[in-house]
Amino acid sequence: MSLKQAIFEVIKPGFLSTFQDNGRIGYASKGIGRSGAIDDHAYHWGNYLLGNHPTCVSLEISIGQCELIALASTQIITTGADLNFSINDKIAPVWSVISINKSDILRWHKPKTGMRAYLCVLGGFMTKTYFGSRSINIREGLGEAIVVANTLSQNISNNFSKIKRFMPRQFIPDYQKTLTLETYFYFNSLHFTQDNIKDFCTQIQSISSKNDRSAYQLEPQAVKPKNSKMYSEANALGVIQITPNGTPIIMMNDCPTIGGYPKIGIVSKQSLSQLSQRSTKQSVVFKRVELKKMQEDGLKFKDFFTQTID
Amino acid sequence: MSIKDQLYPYVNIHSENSVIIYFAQDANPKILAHIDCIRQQIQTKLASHYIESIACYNNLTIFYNIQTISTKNVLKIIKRLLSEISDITTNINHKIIKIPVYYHQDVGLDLLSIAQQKNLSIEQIIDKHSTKLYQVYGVGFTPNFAYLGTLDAVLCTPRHTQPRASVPAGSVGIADCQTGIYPSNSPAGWQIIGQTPLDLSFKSDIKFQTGNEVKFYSIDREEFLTLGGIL
Repeated sequence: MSLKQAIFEVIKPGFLSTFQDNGRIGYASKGIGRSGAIDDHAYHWGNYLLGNHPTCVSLEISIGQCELIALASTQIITTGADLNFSINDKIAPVWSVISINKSDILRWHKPKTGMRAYLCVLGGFMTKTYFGSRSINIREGLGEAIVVANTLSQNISNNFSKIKRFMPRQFIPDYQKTLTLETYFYFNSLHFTQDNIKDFCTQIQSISSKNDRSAYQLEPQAVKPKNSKMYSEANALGVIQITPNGTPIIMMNDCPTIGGYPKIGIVSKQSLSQLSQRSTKQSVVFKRVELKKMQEDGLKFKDFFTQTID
Repeated sequence: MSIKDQLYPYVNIHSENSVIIYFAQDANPKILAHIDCIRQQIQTKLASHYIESIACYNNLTIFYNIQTISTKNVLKIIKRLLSEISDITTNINHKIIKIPVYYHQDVGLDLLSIAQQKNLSIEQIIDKHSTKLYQVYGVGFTPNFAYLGTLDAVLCTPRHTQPRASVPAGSVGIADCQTGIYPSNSPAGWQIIGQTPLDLSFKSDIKFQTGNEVKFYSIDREEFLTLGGIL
């Protein structure tokens, strides 16, 4: 049995604050997608630094305007974006474990750097499970964003390590700089030639205002598919679709399970984490990498955080 | 290489942990049955490396565990399997799902305009939509949304150029030569011709699977309300 205690009450929910974990797999054939923390990097570091299990649920706070009051004392950490995070109106550190007391007011005001902050509490939040995951997907009807006066619960039955860790400086990303998206381009595409891909890689593009947990659109129009006619097929995290007029759309965690536009390549998970911290008008460039390298980097990252399980 | 010259079936990398197989240029019920048969064999061959799959129209995507098997080996296994299977299996999943629909302008927001465009009566549209037995060509986009085909050519209608912000759960729509039912309240680009009172959300007992068949039947206002429909 899981024991829980009330840990926060929501004063302001913010633009979009949802519980997220590693997401769900195994239901895509039923139309139920992956979901999960859109910045895998910040999500994993949060649990790791706090000594949590790598699957603990965090609160993903997008853009800010979020305010919570503590109902008990505990330890927390926020990772990812610095949304001018403060405790009782005093600036508080991001990427560091902090002890909080009952009645403390935690506030994420507006973006200083990055777009999404992760709030982790000791033991993780205690929330409802849908199809094997506690990740919220509003479009799919799997849970809702937090709202005013919600009571958020902490799992106090998890075995968590007493070890607290410090964040190595070199792993704190700079969300301001031009982002290089490591991408594997298909070598035998029916829709794009190798010259198309070369052109695509030389262009600097920027994030359009159409960016959310489902997908990030880029502009300007980059490369037109030879032929856009195709049957719908599976979609997946990281896939770059190109619309008939040439707009690239990068699939993110809440993307639909099926899509009908030609695909040109796949963005690495590491790069997707960094992309999720960026917003309208920020620049991105594509860098060609081998699929094998992309997979190995992803596994190395995953291994690092799962080796810590006792 | 153009799509026309392509030899089927062929396999491509799809995502970091998936590959996609295209079986034919065009989709039809026979191909769907073939895809399902091959899907089962791939699942058996990949054993614990297999995660899940999505079958849709003429293609099948296989997700596998990159922690335990390399992409190279997955491609090898699948290519070998495809070369060994020559016969197209016709072991169609004959499950037929029957869906009651209240075809009326109260709930079918585009029913009248389609009737006018096609120069048909509403009764003729109902008749043409509910006579045919449809094939589930894919499930996805949103939980339990089934892509159904193929419509009577007369009914084929393009999507709205500007999608509606929201249509109610149960709305029955048309997009080109496909038809489908929105399982939950959703933004919608499809042309809406009616509504089913059944709950088809992920909580429903009705779970569409690629290869199932669907038959619509017309109900009146009273039956719609009795079955739980809301106006």
